[in-house]
Amino acid sequence: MPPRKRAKVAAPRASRSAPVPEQKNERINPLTVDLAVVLGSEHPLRLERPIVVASGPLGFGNEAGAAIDLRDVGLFVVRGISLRPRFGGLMPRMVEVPGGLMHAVNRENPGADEVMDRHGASWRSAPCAVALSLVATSVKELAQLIERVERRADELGIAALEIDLTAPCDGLEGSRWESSADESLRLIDTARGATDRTLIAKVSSAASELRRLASESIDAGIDVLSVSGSPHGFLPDRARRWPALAAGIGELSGPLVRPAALAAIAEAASGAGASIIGGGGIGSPADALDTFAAGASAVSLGTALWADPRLPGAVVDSLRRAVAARGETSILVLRGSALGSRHE
Amino acid sequence: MGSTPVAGELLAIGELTPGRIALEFRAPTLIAGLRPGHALHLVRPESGGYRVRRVAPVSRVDLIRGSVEVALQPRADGGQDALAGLRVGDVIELNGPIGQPILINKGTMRLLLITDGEGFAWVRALADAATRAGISVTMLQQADTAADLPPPSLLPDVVEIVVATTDGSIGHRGTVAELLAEYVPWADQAVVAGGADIRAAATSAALRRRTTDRTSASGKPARARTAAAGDRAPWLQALLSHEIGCGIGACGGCTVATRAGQVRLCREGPAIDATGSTAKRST
Repeated sequence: MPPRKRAKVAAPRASRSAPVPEQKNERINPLTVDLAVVLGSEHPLRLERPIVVASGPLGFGNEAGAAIDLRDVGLFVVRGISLRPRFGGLMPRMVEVPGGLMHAVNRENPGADEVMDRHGASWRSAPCAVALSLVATSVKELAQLIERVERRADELGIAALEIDLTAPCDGLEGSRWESSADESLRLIDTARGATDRTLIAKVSSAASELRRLASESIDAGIDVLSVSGSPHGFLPDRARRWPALAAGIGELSGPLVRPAALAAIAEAASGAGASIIGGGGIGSPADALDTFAAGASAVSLGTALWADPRLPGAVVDSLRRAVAARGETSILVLRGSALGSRHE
Repeated sequence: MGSTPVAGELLAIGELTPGRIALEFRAPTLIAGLRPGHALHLVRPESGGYRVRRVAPVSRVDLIRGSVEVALQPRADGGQDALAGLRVGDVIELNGPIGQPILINKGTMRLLLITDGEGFAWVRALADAATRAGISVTMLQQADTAADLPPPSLLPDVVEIVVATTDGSIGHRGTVAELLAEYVPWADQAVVAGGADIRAAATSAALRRRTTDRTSASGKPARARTAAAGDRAPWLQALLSHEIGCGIGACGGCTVATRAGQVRLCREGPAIDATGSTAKRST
């Protein structure tokens, strides 16, 4: 089924030339800077802070509140859930690689119902917005999963649904949804037909036809494109007798993915109608500023939170100072600031 | 993450087995809660400013020095380890304890430890604690050659050390698997830590022992085995290590499936009931 055409709604976006904002002389108190962003337009999602906790590193919910201060976060994305339980495979599931780490957890989860039963209370009481990351290997499975989730989404305070296009697709013989823009758009269209909640599509820097996906996904019904997924990686073990991960191919996180992630964010931003959450290898406030400069409206933090639980707060402080230093009071001034040509 | 980080000053750098670095940190506020089987997360900036939480088993606790010794596990990719470049006096962030202690039943008087160069760090602290508690400890050690073995001086004198080397340069020529039949009937409990080969051998021995016990129970028991009240540890516990992760049981990076359900090594591990696990390739 082709994606249903929707009336195009012009989402706020960075200008391609993105001239460097004029420096103003008046001194701005960083505390007066407004960090709130509205992602999407047809089904908008307001985040009080443009900080997203990526799906996965902090689990389903119960553990996250004890691990970091969610008051510094705008959106917590729950670790991926599926209609039925998924097993994560054998150990080793996570190893260190030069410049980061590689993992193969296979989106392990006990199934949507059990996750909602066990963690729903923590979502209701969270001081930030909460999104569920949905994992489905077919269009039909996603439709059933959304139907299951929608029964309880209001009660549990779910603000948005993330469609994980980095998950495997049966129709593509186990390759990721994102390896086919057509299949991705078909999945998004199905999701939009099943919910009125804000829809986020998560892709990695390795997504095929990213510019097309970015520009056409809004027609298919997406509100936010999250360019924060992990690209694939492979490494032999020390003896080169086995893969380092039991699963063989894994997913990469950490500084090694950052330049590729920034390129993907910039590419998506140049063609997007949807708002962009940018992520991949962000380990410091400076990395977060780079991600805004590449065109993101919000930044996604992942495995760096394990060693630095205070990173969201540090990013918030850094954003306030960066906006104030430009003599502005809105975070929007930072978005896409590096996308202009040096020769213009 | 999870526990409050503690600043640990590096007091000494040593070697447990060739190529296995041990780091001793002063961390008096941390050591009171450490037990055999626990690990710490070591956090030090890596290149590019990215920090990972590296799992390091606690190999010794010195209450007098207020210090804890941990062992660095080699990286799977064989990459340069920034932690190996630490110098005495450097201070890094320690998080812990990670995981649960190894359970030793009250009635256990004879403890069998089965290990290799990879697993030695995980059971060294247990050998110390068990002998202090008056438990007889025998450690079966596996290595390719004599030079790969840990120095006997790292263990209490009362620990019986039995060695198997592949090249026969010391001890039994072959593997510890060939020694298990002799020692398994002696032990009240056993713990295996190391590579997949010795874990599989120990697990097979434990399953054979269980079958033998059932057979004996149907006739005249060959040997009385009475479990003390409150005993809950399985006869064989396997220690499974992992390299990195969140440390709070959230990320799924260290989860193994057992007959009793999913076990997160950083929370419910690292010791699991070896005869109930389906884990095969954990390192």
